[in-house]
Amino acid sequence: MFHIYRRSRNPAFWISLFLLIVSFLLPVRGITETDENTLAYLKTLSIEELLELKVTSVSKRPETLFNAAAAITVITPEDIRRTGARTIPDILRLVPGIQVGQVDGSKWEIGARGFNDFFENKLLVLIDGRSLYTPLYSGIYWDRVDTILEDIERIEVIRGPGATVWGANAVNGVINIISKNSAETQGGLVQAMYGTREQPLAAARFGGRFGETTAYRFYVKGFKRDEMETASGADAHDALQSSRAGLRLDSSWKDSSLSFQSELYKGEADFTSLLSGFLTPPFFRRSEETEKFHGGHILTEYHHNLSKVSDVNVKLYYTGYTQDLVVVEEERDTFDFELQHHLKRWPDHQIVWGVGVRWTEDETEGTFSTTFTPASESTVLWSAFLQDDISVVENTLWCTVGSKFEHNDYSGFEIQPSIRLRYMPEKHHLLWAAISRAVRTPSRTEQDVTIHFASFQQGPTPVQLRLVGNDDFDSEELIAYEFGYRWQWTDSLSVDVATFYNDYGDLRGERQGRAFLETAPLPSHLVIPNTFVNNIEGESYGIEISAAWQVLEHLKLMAGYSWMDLNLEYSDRHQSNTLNSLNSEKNYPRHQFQIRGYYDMSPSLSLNGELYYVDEYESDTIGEYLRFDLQLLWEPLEALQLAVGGENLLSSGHKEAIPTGSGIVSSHIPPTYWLKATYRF
Amino acid sequence: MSLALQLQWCLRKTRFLCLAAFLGVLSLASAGVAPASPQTTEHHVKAVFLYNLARFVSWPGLWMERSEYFTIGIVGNPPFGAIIDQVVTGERWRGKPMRVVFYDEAEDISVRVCDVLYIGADQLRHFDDIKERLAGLPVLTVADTPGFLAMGGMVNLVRKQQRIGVGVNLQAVRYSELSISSKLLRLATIVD
Repeated sequence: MFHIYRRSRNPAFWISLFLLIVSFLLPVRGITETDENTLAYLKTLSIEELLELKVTSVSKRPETLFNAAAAITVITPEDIRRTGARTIPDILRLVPGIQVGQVDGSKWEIGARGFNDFFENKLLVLIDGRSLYTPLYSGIYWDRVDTILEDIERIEVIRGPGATVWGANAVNGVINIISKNSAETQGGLVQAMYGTREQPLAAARFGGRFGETTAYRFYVKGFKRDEMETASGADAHDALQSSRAGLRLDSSWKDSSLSFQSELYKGEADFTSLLSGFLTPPFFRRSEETEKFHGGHILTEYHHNLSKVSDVNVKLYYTGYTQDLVVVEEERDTFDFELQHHLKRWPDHQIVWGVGVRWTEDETEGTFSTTFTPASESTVLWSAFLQDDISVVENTLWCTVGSKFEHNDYSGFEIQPSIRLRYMPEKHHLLWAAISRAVRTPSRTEQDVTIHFASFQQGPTPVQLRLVGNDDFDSEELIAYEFGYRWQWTDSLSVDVATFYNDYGDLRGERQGRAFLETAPLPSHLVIPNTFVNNIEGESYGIEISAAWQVLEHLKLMAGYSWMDLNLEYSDRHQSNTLNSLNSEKNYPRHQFQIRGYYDMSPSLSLNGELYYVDEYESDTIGEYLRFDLQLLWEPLEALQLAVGGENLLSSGHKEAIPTGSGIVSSHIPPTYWLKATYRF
Repeated sequence: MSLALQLQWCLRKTRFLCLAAFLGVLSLASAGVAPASPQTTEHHVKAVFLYNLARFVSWPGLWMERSEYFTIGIVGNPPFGAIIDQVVTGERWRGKPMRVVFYDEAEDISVRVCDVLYIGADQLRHFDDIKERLAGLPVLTVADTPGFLAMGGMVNLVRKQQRIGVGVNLQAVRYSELSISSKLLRLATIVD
C-alpha cells in the first residue's frame, strides 16, 4: 500500500497527514469537561425544554458485543445515515476485512478474508434470520438484498466462521442484517433521491399501532439505476430497476413477543454477457442481456420467556423466487423452521440449543451454455446445535464450547464444533481466542451442472471445454484459529484487533477428464470435460484493526486496516489443471485501509466522509484504487433531511471486480453524485 | 511528457488535493478549532430526565422517612449508566442527598432501598419478578424500552423521531400510592 504515497510527493498531502497525526497527539481536550458542561446545561433546563431537545442517536453497543469472542463489527443506523451508502454492499465497505468489489450496475463480489470472486460461496447473509444464500451455486444475489435503509436496526458482520451457531456455509463470515421492530418505526417517512445513478429512487413507509401491544409498518421502495460506462466510455448496459413492498407486525406481551413480516419484490438488471462455448467461429457471443427476477417471503418469529431462567424462540419462514438469469432460469421455494432454547439454570452456564429443518425445491431451465441435471431437485437440511458458555473464573474467564450437527442431501453428516475463550484481565480489556471448524457444503452447481464454458478451433475440429458436475464432490473444509483483543480505553476511544490463521482443505478445483468426440449437435467436436473435485488446499492468515474515536462531541473518527495473505495449492499436483482455479481464488487485495469522519458543523448540518484504499488484487486482475465518498447532511426542519453526496470522488472510474467465469463483462465504476430528501411525519 | 502522462499527473494531483483538503478539515476539526456546537445525545437527555423526574413525583411521607438518601436504583445495563452517576452526584432531593445504586441483575435489587428503579432493556424479561417483589411499594419504575407500560411499568422514555417522549401508566402509578404532578402529565402520553 505504500508505493502510492511514494509515487506522489504532494506536499499538501504530507502537510495534512502531519496535521492529522498532530491532532491525534494533542491532549484529548476535556472529553469529560465537555460532558460535564453538557450535563450542567441540561440540568438547568425545565422538563418541557428537556423534552423539546433534539437528540442525536447513540449507537447501541451492548456490552455483549464488547464481550463477543469473535471478530465482530456492528454497523449502526448512524453509520448508514451519515455515510449515505446507497446499497447494502456499499455499507459493507465500512468493515475492515470485508472485500467489496462492484462488478456492474447490479452485481457485486463480496468476500470476507478473501475469496471474493463472483461465485463467492463462503459467506452467509441473513436478513432477520432468513438465509439469502442460494443453494444453486452457494452465492448471494446482492441486488436482491435491499430494504428501506432507514429501517435497518443494525448490521452485524462476523469475520471468520460462525458455523457452530449459523450452520454450514458460515465459513469465512456471517452478515446479519436486522431490521427495526415496528415500534421503532412509527409515523411516516417519504424519501426521494436523484443523481447520476439513481434516476430516481423513491421510498415511503408508514408505521402505526393497534392498541398498546401491537405495532405495524408497511413500506414501498423502488428505484431505477442508470447504466455506467465501459473502459472506453461507451454505455455499459448495466441499468438496474427494482421495486419492493412489504409489511411488518410486532406484538409484545408480558412474557412473549410475536413478529410477522412479508415482502414482495421484482426487478430487472441489464448486463453485458460474453458467452463462449459455441461450436462455430467466432465461438463466443457478446450480447446485451437483461435478467428478470421476482420473489417474496413470509417470516414469523415467536419468543417466549418460559421462566426466569429459560426462554424459547421459534422461527418459521417461506421464501420463493423466480429468476431468468439468461444462461439459466431458476425457480425456488424454501421453507425453514428453527427452534432455539436458551437456558440459564446453573449460575456458571448459559446454554443454548436448537434444532432446525430447511426444505428447498428448485426448477431450472437450461440453455445451450448451462444446464442442470436433473432440472428439478428438492433437498432437506436437518440441523441441531448445542452451545454452552461457561464462566470459568467469575467475571474474568469464560469458555464457550459447542457444535452444530447437520445432515444435508449432498455430503451427509457434518459436524462443526468450536471452542472460544475470552479473558477479561481488567474491565475494558478483552482478549479472545477461538478454534473452529466450518464447512461449505456442495451446491447444485458442483453436483449437477454442465457448462460449455469455452471453445476454439484446433485443426479441423472445434474443441469445447466443458465443466461437469460431480456427485462425489464433497464439502470444503476450514479449520480456523483466531485471536483478538478489544480495548475500550475511554467512553470515546476503542480499539479492536483480530487476527486469524485459516487452514483450508478440500476446496473446489477442477480435474480434466479424457477427451471424446461428440457428433450431436453438429459440427462434430472434441469435448474436453472438466469436473469439480476437492483438490485445492491451503492456508490464509491476516490481521484486521479498527479504531473509533469520539474526538469531540461533534467529531467522530474511525479507521480500519486489514492485511491478509492466502496461499493455495493443488493437493493432486500430478494432474493437469487447465482451468487454473488457483488464480481465481486469489481474488483479493492484500492491504485495505480506510478512514472515516463524522463531523457536525452545527446541530443541523454535518459533513461525513470516508476514504478507502484497496490494494491491487493478488490475481493481478484489479489494480489498486482509492475511493472517496463524501456526504453533506442538512436538517433545515426537524422532520426534513436533505443530503447531497458523492461517491468515488477521486477517480475518473476504475474497475473493482473481474467476474471470472461468469460470462459477465464488468463496468468501470464512475464517480456518482446524488441529492436526497427524507421527510418524516 | 506526453499528454496522457500529463493528464494522469494532473488527475493524481487533484485527487491528492481533494484528499488533502478532507484530511485537513478533519485535522482542524479534531484539534478543536472548529466551533463547538452543543450536541446532545439521547443518553444525556435520558440521564438528566431521570434525575429530574423525582421533582414531579410525590412519595408517601412514611416511605420517605425510612432512609436518609434519595436513591435511584439501576438494574441491568443502561447505556447512560456512567452519565447518571455524574448527573446525580452532589445533588439533593428535598434536602436528602441523591445517590445511584447499580444492580447487575434483577435478583440483586433490594427493593426497600430504591425510590426510583430504572430497569435496563436486558433485565426487562425479569420485570414480572421485580413487580412481584415490589408488591405495591411506592417505587417509581422507569424504563426506556417500547412496551414497558403494557407490562405494568410506570414511566417509559421513548424516542419520538428526534426527541424523547414520556409515557406514563397512571393505573400502575396510583396502585403504588405515588402521585405524579399534572405538569409532567401534561407533557406525557397517558396510558390508563
